[in-house]
Amino acid sequence: MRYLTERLEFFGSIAANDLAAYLRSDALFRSILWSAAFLACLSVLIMLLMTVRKALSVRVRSRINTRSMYLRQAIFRCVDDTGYCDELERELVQGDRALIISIIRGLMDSIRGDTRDRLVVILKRFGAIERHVHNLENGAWGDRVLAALDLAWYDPKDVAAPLLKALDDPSSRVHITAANSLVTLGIPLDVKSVCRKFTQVGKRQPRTLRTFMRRIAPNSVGEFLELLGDDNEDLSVLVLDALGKSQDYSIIDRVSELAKRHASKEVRAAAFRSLAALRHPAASDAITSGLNDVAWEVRTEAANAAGKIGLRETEDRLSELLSDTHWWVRFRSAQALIALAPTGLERLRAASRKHGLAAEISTQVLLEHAGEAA
Amino acid sequence: MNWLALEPVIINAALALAALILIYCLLVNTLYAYQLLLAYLTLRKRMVPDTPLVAWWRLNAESIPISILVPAYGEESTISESLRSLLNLHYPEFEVIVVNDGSTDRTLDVLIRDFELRPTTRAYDRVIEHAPIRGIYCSRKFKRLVVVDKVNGGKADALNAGINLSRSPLFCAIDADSILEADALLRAVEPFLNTPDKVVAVGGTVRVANGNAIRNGRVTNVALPTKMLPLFQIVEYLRAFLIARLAWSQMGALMLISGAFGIFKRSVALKVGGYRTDTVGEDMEIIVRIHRYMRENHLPYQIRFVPEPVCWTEVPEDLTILSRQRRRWQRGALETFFTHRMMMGRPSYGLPISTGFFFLLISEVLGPLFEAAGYVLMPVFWAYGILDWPFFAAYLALTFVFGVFISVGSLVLEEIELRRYSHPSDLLKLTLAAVFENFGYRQLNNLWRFMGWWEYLRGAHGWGNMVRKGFSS
Repeated sequence: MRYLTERLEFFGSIAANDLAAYLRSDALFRSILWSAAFLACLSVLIMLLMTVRKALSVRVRSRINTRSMYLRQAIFRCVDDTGYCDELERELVQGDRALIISIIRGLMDSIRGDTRDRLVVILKRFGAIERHVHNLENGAWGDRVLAALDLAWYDPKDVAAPLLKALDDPSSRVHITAANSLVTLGIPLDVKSVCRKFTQVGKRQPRTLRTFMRRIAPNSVGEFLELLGDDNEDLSVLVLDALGKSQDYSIIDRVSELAKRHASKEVRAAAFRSLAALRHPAASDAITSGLNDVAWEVRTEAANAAGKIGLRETEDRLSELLSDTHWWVRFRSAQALIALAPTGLERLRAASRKHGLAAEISTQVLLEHAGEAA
Repeated sequence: MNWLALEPVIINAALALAALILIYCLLVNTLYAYQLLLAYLTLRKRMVPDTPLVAWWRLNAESIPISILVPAYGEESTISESLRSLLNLHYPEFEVIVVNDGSTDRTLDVLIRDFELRPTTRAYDRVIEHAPIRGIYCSRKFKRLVVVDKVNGGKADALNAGINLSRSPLFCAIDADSILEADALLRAVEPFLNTPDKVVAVGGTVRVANGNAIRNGRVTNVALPTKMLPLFQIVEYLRAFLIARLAWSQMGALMLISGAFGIFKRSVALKVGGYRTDTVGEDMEIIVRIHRYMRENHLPYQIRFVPEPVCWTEVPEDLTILSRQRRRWQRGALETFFTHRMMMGRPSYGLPISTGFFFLLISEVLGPLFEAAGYVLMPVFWAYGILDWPFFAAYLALTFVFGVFISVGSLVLEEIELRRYSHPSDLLKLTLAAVFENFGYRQLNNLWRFMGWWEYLRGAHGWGNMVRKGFSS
């Protein structure tokens, strides 16, 4: 105990001198105290200022609302009587042009036909195109997206140049929106180069790209089939998805070929999804081979396609797949057999009377089917 | 033994302890300030959120099917209101799977009556184990609704049953006492659409519903509660979601997606084995386990937090229930930390995870101990003259005054970026709450966390009861 006390005293005396000297230098503590107090007071002050700002903004908002209501009525009057636009233009005050553009922007989604055309004329008159082009070239990316979107309302010759330039915008949202607007306006695009540019290897593929490609697919089947030769899996998956929506049966052979032989399971699965969407019996060979694929994802898609198309020749294999090691393959095969009623349904009933995985999934899917039917 | 000789040693030990507490406070507050700055920068960077109509128009065509899993235990007063809000969500393809986890009240009866349920069956792969299912029901009124009645096994067990039964690529776990905003799913699913190969889980903001006007499962007017306790919790929730979650998400070290509202990739949840049933912090545990699984298998992934999708939840209005909830949260955090403690400081898990774990250590594990030690010891040391006034004042400044900065800072963020409270008087009330919560409420919270530590050491289990007032009232 005495030894311990001596040791403690020894280390204590060394540490104590330094520690006490350091801790007794008030400067550190004072700086902590004052900086904390300063930050707390500052934050409270900012919050109080924000409260005042909110109170003021409530007033301003109510004034803007009143002005908006007036301008909205004026816009509808302009739609009916174009002569009134001159009168309105004369009485505009600062900020009214932006307000008019924003009011019409809000109306565009819900108005169609002649009224919409007249609204576009009013937008042009109040300088909306210049504002959109300025935003598209210089705005933050959110503003650029909106500008690219809104330019689709106008005459192609007024907006084609800025939209084509926007295809090189670094933001995917902006360049895809610009491409969509160009398609809306009927301005021809070099589909292959645009799709290749938008789906560079290693870059993330935004969902808007899929929508865009589905949209242009019906008129670009030839180009899309050529794109399938590219060594870019992401692009192939997107192209196959878009081709499935094209409802063009001339692509079936090429898609079937990919479904059977492509090295990537993602591409093979996408090809079967595409065939399922096309629902054409010419895909029978490919689907039969897909049901024997090594990848469970591909077998699942092939089983799904077999049911969707109604390929009775696959019933034997689908019955075997009820015992597949993967649940989704078993489940989709069982669903496909139901779709192949009455013979497929009968096979499923027979499977449910046996034992093992096939019996389990058959029973579950039959019960569920009966429940849905009820 | 010479006690007089020991006196300087005791004084020095006390000084050393006081210095340690002060350093701890300084470290934690610096981290909070850094999070505040990071959250501010992140919010500034994001695009102005769309209106609900534009969000629908922009996202509906590409949205991924979602199963909403609602574990329910003793929720007879809120379940119908919550379900109505869920069934009216603006989302193209979703189903709602309510898992009645052996409720002892009339939860199932209320569901059968209000939604005209009838028995059905559903094929599913029992990948994750869970307590036996007694029956599956579907609704005559709502095709999207499936109700599963099972033997009680806890919230995690109910969620596991829901994961097994769901067939969508994504599932959304929410509390039965929560109300999702109509476009919450649309907004929350966006990271999955933008980065489909990487994002495995997304959390949204949970806000306090007490005080709001709610009609037909919709929040029709955002207002503040009249009671102090929920008001303090509003500030707390804003601090937790707008600062901490956002900052950690930005750093790639998000360790918690609230059990009240989180969306997960089903395949990943199945790979990690679903929710663990032997912890009360299953929401934090599954996130940490996903981090662990993805890192150990060298898989690219992101776990994200999105501030805009909002889930409203009822918070406790009395101290007993709040205390129970906070003790449970503390136990959950400790269980998760000690289960996965080997992840801390290992370079193979990467810098963000190490940082996240380090913060978990100092805020959730050591936090209650240091804070409690500070509240008890520092005034004593000062009273006995061991600490001089500047030292003690610096401690008080770090403990109380700096807290005001962080709490009010979260309100500033809310007002700059999200602006959910429309009345100036609401802002004033919240500012006062943000100031005063640091003088009493925070200390009380720390006491509960300390008790949570004690319960953890004693090996306490179970959730305790949460008495629901019900939205309709």
